[in-house]
Amino acid sequence: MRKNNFKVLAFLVLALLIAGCGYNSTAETSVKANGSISPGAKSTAGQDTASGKASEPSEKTVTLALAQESNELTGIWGLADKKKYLEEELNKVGYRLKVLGFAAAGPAVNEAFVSGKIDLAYYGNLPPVVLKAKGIDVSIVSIGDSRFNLSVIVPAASDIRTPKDLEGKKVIVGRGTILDEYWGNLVKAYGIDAGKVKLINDVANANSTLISGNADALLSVDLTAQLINKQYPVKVIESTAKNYPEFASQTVLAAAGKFAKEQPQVVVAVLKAYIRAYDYALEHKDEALQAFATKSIPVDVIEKVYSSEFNFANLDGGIEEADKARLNKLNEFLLEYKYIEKSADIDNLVDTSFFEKAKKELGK
Amino acid sequence: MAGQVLKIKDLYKSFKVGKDEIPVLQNISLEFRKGEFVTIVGHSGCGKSTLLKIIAGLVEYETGEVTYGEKRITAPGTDRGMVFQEHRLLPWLTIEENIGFGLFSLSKEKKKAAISKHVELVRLNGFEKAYPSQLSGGMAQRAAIARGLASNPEILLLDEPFGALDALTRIQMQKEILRIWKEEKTTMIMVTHDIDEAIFLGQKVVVMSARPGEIKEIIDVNTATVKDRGSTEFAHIKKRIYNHFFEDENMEIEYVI
Amino acid sequence: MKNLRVILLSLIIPAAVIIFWSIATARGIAPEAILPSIRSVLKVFKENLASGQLELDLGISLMRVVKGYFAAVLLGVILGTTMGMSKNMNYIFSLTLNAIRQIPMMAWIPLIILWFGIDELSKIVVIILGAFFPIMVNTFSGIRGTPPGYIEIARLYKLSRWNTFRKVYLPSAIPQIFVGLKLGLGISWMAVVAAELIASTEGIGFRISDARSLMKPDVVIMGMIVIGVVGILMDKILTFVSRKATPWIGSKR
Repeated sequence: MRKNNFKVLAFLVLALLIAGCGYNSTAETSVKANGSISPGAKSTAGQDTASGKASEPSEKTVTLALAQESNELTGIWGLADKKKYLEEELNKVGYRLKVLGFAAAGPAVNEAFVSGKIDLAYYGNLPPVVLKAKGIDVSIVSIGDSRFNLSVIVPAASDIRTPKDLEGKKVIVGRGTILDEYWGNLVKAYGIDAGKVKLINDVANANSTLISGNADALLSVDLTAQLINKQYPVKVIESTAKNYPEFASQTVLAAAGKFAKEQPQVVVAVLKAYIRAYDYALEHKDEALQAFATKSIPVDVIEKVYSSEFNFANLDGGIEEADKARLNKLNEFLLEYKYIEKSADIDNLVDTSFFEKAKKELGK
Repeated sequence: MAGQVLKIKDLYKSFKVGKDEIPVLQNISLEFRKGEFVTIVGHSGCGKSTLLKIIAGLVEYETGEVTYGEKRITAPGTDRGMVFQEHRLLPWLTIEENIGFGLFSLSKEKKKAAISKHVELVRLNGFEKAYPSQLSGGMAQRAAIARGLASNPEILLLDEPFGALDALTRIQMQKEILRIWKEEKTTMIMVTHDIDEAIFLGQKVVVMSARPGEIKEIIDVNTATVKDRGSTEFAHIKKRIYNHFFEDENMEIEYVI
Repeated sequence: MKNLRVILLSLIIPAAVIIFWSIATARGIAPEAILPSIRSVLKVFKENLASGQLELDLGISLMRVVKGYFAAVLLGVILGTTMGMSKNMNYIFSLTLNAIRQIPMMAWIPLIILWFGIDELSKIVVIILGAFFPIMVNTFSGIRGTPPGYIEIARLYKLSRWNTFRKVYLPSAIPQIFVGLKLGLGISWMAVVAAELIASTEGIGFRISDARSLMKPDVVIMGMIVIGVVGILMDKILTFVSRKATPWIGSKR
């Protein structure tokens, strides 16, 4: 009975979402962005009141895209936002931040990059490498989480126990996202016959697709598992937190080439806010965990996922050699599976100069 | 054998238009003997057509008697055929299929023979497999006449059959219908608004007024001299009929010297 | 000869498009990621053809169209006829059907996917939903538009209700029914692609959506061209069938 009620609620929400937001939903803090992606549109013009006029002529806006539906910042970024570090640092260079959420994740963010609609993006490592391989000018200026854990989620009552059991099943894997690589790696590691698995590319409505029974499994992050579990019992049968840690992905801050060249001070400002938030988190772990929570991700979920032995080290934002090696591995994967025709020049893609400058300006 | 008589006695017919009852036919009493050619002339309008449709069995009536051979007419039947102003040939059937449209009770051979005979009768040989859209107006109307006669009805009802044709074709068709009548000896009851045509074709002309339709006069026009369109008798009768419709004017007879 | 002239005239715009496209890519107006070159589209086309992927995708989508379209034809013609022939049936159905018809297909798709899953059935339901209405409406209109003069002829020859339908209403309605059939076919094709774009694991619409996720606009364009060409072909076939079915409609006019 409860399942039916939930189904009704779910599709009403779905209908509203589809009708209102369209495939590429972009939510804003104050007002809906005009959804269409216009080629070459300058994104530095302010647009923050309902009437669409620029607020203060002296303040400019830097647009940051997130590969999720909501436009709320999470993790260290969320902390930087809540402690007002972002606001302070950007004010110093005369900018304010606008955050856009993209429910269709990586591919949609990439499209926004290509059409010049966004300046920065915080998303998985796969999409920006694809962009670089296609000759689009982007840079990875920071790696937010160098060990971003991924997992395979199934309904609690499912008889799927290991990834090998996925043969003959329907699995949701977001095409063009970091889950694509995870799936490829799982296939190799567990000897899965990929031809026997039906892949569903449904990022925007992945949760409801799993819950409604239209899919048997979902590749995603642990956080998602906890979120779904609140309404519908699920279990994690495989996770990089436990097995194959080398399959863990990375979340990166990418900057549009043009923007980084023209407004380097803004990139540095954003990174300074991040570094300050990270330092704060190291000193105040409990408070940090509280701050990680958002409207969509409540505190108890955060606590479940990030246990007390949580090591913040992989969140420092810097780019080490190991991180570059990981990106190179990703590049090989993309070449092997023909996601890209030409190799991406990782050394060219990664640009640590902004992060170094940010550290220096903070006196570190 | 004594021919059956089509009798109409005290026929009254009205139509409901909104709340009102509009009388269309009033005090109609007529008799048609077998093999007669009777024309009914009057303004173009419902009255005459309605009378024809009542005889055909397509329209019901409550007051009066319409009988054919002592049997009350209540529905269509194979003893009465009809031809309309539009040829109403079904566009998706060939000419021969159209002509044979009402002949389902016949065997294949009989049907084929009947069609063939009537194609011949209206002189449409060679056009059996044509579609109505490929025929001229006159030819199509001839096919409609063939269809009307195909089941060998005793009476053929014609509702302004040549009204849609041009003047020259009309004259040609008048000659045709006379020829067919002489060959088949079917009772012809034709409604027309063309006074000349009424006089030329009919043995009797029934003059009807409109709204409501009433019989003003029945004129005998079955003499040879009358049939000559140029004769004075023709002109006199024409004037007689004309005066029923335009009573305040007096038509001057033109003398042909 | 006339046919040659017709062909040449219709190719003017496609030729212009190709010319502008070549110029644009030669000048490098946009990166390959936004505007792929004609060569890369052709290359992708050849690859997909050689690997058999194109046939596979096309076959799957077409199969869905066939199933959905024929179901829609059956439903549409039967309902359109009943509603056309019987006033009561018309009253029973027309309010509900009109209401459903107002809702745009895009709004239905997520509901249908939720109710019928992401497999074949939901795609076929979407097709039926889209194709049914033009077929039904045109059938209804064709039946209702039967000239009363012909119906009177049927009465004159005492045809039964069934025979009047079979010999007068139906043949009279056929040209209009074919108008509906053509519209329905075009919509079926659009519907299947739309449904596959949103949630599917195979098919030509899926192929396009997949290519989009991987930033392969050359595959997207290839897919679109294929869809356009197949759509035209289907329409031409139906036109041919409709001409054969109505031999009395001559070209003399």
